[in-house]
Amino acid sequence: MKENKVNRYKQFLRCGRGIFYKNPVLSFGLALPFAVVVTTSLQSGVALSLAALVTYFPTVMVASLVGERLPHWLRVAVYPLAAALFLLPARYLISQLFVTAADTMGAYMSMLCVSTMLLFGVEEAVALHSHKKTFLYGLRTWLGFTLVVVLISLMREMIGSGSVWHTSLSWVPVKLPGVLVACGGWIFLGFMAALGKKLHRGLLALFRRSEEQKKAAQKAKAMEQ
Amino acid sequence: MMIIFQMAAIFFAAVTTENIFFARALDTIQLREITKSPRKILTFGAVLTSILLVSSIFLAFIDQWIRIYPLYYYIASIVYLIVNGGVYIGAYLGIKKYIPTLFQKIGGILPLASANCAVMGSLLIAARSSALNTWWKFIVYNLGSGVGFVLALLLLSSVERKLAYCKPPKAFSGLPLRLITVGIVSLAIAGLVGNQLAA
Repeated sequence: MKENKVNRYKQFLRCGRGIFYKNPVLSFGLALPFAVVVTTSLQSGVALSLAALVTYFPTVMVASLVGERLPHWLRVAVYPLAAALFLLPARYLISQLFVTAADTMGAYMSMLCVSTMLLFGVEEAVALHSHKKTFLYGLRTWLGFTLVVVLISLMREMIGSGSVWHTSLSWVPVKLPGVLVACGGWIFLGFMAALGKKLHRGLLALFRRSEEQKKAAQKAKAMEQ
Repeated sequence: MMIIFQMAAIFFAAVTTENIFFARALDTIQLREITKSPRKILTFGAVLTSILLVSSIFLAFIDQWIRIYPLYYYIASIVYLIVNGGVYIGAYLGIKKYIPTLFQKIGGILPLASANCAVMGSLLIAARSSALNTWWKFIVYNLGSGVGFVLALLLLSSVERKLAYCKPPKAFSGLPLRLITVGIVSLAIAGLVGNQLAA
């Protein structure tokens, strides 16, 4: 395969699959409740991603170890329970580190055990038949989730509360508290998903145009000679 | 008589202002399913609501026993998952054995309709609400949540059919437009909460 900008970009996307490309939240719509409701401050976003790491990653690895020994219909009952056990230390950790975030998350922290990201991750872990691939898949998915959640919570806190990490910013001209409610979160996420798509298409188009111009210049040079 | 009015009020609130799809953003993976026919959405919704209702009946009483423990918020999610999982496994095996014709129709959707944020979220939110402090309020709220979820999906399904005739910008096609649509509908329903202007 020729090493041109388009191929290098596609290679970069393949390496970052699950983070920038095929993001679990923006591409597949997984774990949307957390991205829409919980991400009202950066602290909540960081606490959420930490809780997701402690519940999602070990559960997916356990699913990889158990494999197909557990029938499909039983997995949806067993793995959320396993995730709930992993959630116990996460809940304690977050209540000690992020007191306000633990209150904000409320019942949503428990819902990490039945999140679509976890249930889909478990099925993918069983289908991959490889612990190494499952490890990489789990890590990429969690990183993709964290990227979206942290970005959204940062922007929503800045625009909605005029603060970052509960420290108010004097340079924010206007606050829009509507961004902090669920409807604002939906619209925010929709525009973020559209921006991601536009960015991807824009970069592809830019690299393709650059390659075509390069080829045209090379052709013109060859004809002159 | 007062109890009936209270039940109706809790049910209506669970369906509209506290809708688990629009206000709480639960089980939004079903955004991918809104292109399906209303019949399939109703089937899925009926299964989800049934599982939610049966789980809530058990948990309305179990929650009162475990609430006295100091580590309630740590053990609640595990207990709720065990009960919900038990209801699902019982339903799965029972329907498979005794009603095989029904199992052929709903067997594929039973796992997804049972283990999801809508069911767990509705149960946990009801447990945490101080307004739902009796067993019948808990059950009525969860019943309303299930019905509200189905209505939300049907509403979005009809919006999706209208949007199919539009030509949005390529960046907005698919999930982004659906998210924005849900946000706008959610904003409209949030208006039902009311807004009091300063005197």
